[in-house]
Amino acid sequence: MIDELGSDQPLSERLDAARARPPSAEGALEVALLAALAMRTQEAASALAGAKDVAESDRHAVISALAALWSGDPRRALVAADRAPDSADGRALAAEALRLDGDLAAVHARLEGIVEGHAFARLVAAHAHVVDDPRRALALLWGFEAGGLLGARARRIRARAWLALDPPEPVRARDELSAGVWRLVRLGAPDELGRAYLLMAEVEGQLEQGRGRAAQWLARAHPLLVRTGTTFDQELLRRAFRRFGRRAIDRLVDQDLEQQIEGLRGAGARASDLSRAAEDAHSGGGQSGRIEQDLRDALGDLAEKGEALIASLESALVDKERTGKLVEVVRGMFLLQSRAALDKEIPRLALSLGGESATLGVLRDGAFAPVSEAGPRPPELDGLTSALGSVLEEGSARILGGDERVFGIVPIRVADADRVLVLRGIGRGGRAAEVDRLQVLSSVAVAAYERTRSAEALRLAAARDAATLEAIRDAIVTLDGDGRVRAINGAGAALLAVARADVEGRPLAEVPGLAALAEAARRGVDDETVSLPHVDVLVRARQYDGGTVLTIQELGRARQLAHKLVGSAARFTFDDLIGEDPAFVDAVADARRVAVADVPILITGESGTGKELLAQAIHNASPRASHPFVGVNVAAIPRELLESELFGYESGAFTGARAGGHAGRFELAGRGTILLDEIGDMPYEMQAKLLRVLQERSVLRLGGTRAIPVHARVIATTHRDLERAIEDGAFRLDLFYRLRVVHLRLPPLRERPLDIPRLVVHCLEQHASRHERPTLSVAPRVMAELVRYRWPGNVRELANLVEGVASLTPLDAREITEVPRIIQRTGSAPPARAPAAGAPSSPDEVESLEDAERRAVAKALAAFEGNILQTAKALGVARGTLYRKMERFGLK
Amino acid sequence: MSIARRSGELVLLPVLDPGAAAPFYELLGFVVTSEDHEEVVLEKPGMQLVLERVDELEKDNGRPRIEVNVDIDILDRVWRTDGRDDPTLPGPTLAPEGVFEYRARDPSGNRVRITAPLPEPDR
Repeated sequence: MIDELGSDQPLSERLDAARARPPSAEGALEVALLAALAMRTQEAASALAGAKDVAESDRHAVISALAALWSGDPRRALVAADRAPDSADGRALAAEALRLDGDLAAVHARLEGIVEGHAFARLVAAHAHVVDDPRRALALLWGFEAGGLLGARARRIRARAWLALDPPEPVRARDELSAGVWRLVRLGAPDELGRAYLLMAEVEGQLEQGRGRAAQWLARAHPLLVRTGTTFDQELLRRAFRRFGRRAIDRLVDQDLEQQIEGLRGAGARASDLSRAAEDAHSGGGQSGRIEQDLRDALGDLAEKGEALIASLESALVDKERTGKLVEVVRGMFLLQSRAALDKEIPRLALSLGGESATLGVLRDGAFAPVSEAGPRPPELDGLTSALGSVLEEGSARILGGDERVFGIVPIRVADADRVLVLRGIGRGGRAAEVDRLQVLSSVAVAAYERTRSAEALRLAAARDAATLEAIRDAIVTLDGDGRVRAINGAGAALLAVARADVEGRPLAEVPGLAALAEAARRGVDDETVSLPHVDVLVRARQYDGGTVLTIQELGRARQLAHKLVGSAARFTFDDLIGEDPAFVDAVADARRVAVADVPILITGESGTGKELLAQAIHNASPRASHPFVGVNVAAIPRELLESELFGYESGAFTGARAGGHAGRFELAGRGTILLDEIGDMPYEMQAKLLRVLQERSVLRLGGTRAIPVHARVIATTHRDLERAIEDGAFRLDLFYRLRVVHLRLPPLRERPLDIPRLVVHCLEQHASRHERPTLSVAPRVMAELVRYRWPGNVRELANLVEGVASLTPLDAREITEVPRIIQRTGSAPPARAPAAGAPSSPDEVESLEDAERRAVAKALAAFEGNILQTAKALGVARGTLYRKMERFGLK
Repeated sequence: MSIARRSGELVLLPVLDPGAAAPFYELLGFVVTSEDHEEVVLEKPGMQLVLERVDELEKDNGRPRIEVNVDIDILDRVWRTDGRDDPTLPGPTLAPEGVFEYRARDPSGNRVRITAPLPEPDR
């Protein structure tokens, strides 16, 4: 059995394993033992009953005894243990039962001869000594090494012994318990854990700084012992609650009485000794005169001390009664909610302190004007006016008059009007104590008036705050420091779809569906999108002293703001894409198909081919059409600002950062679409950051620490040849694959000559519509030139040129008859010679020096497999210069 | 980098071998979110940890210390993994406020203060 108590394996695991074994009598006993230790009393009893085959065995007797002990029944445990009188386990358990029953002499008899070799017997022996001889208890457990319940109990007994020493050593007791608690938590032994917590409360109660913590340990012990403790444990718990919950004043009174009782006891003992000595002297024929004198003195002392004790007891009782009445009056005053109620009720309440009548009044124009009263009005009041005035001036309670006409005067100085309470017939006897009591009454009455005044001011302020909240169109929710809803305005209740009465005063985290909002409040978010079950909202949380204010906007409204901020909105649809050229039609058909699929799209094509227009059309045909479309021209944003533009920044992230931070384009896009225009121009080091965002679907604001989820779909466009850029080391291959899940290529206009007349006509119709004039036609000769022209600027160039020509055509003209000058100058024939190899085909493709330099460095590094010395040599720069360039270009 | 930068719940920790250090932090409830030769990024609710490779660590008193709050089962696992489960040894320190504390070191020798509150009893 003892091995079972010394195991460190959690009881629940061992019990599960025992239950899983094939049924047998021995197995049932094992289940009984473990269930008893885990405080599963019923299961232990059933298992014992099921082990009938071995009911006569020592082991059955021992486990029955243990189960009875653990369930708090030492008498039954003793009977069971006595069924195994020759077993050391049985004897040890019988001794423990006797110890719990308080028969310590019998404990030692049972343990004789087994303490040294039996761990549990040793524990029982030490436990039996812990109060009367704690040093012996500690000596018995010296070098005791065991795990499991045995180890934990040894530590608890040692802790109790340290506490029982004179002087006690609570710090050592605490160390013992600390180690024991860890073991018990792991074992899952709730009863032992409860006892350890209870003892920890006692330990902390003895430490100067620990009294506050004692209550915490008691609070931990309480649920465990109520559930699993024995009757004895629960009695100890009650005692501990009485001890740590009592008022300090009660303790002082008790100490005083205890001292007097001790004095009386000492005097009695001395008188008794002297009495016996006198008898001895008398029977021995000796001189007893001196002894008798001492005896008379001792008896006198005894009587004196007895009187003193009786007086103290009476005084304590009277004080308690008076204090009790005062407490009732105070309680009554604080239940009153208005000044009018206080004015009316104070005399009635005060009269319960004693006396014949109580009158409350104010001094007005040199006369006492009663406001309210209880009992008959004293006829002497008029004669007291000047005394009442001086009491009010001094601000201290006073008792006036002699034995027959005693008045207690209580000043109540409050802001709106000073009041005086006159109590007739109070204060007979114990005058000083009575003045103290009246002074308390005065202070309490002042506090009660001030409280009602403050409460009224607070009510007004609350009404004003509520009106202010209602006037705000945004949803506002205020939380207290514990995350409870203090107030919510009408807009808030409507947006969050809750009834105010259901949420006010309740933790926001517990309101169904609003846990995400509570979490955002806890983190102090700043313009963060939070998805609630019925709506997506943009949340800003501001901490204030004692709580948080949440400003919540529906994302739809926030989207309008986003459009305003980024100046971008998707206007075009697939209907705006004009063309019947097969390559163009295929690209648009592909775009229509992928619009509904939620995948990243890469659109390539020369400048002016309509990449952004296609992106907008995809957005508007997608399920995200009701969400924002946010475009970012990567090439147009300075390299230094790109990261903060895309990902946003926190307040103070860099010099010039806006207070309160700034949401990035990814955040603004919300659940919509973000267009990364001219992605091919993105700096190399930014590409890694973008890749990370796309992989993790979250952004980290600059200077921020919190990941903000990204829900937006990404469409990227470029006029560059990205594959070549990858080869040149200017574009990351992994980012390319991440973006190019679907690749749409828009053909240049020169490759779709059949579409040119249609586009020209479309542009002329649009011009006519805008300017409210008839649609111009185009002379066949001019149209032929337009079709032959190479259109390096593609559709954009065509639209601009047609717009310009139409605008210059006289208002009375119906036809464009002249070939535009640019076409005349440039000529519409193919160029005389192809551009030199590697030369850009259009001005848009001219590469910046920096890009060229980055490409050169990347190429050289690749060629020399990262060898810095050789690379630097080949590039004709110093090693340090190469390192600096690598850092600048984000190359490794 | 030789000094840990700590900003909110993001901790950058220099280690000699991020790959070797990561399992220790996984034991503490972190989950690896990305890793390469130079760094391993791990996360647990409310905390992101970046283990950064360095060639040499500073002396002990210049090294960063981090504090991780875990539940008691995780503390028990760390305790056992550290080979401290000798029944005769005392458990992790129990502070008077009811919090267990254990000071461990990660494979690079960084000091990690692990705390676990006492489990709340079922009421």
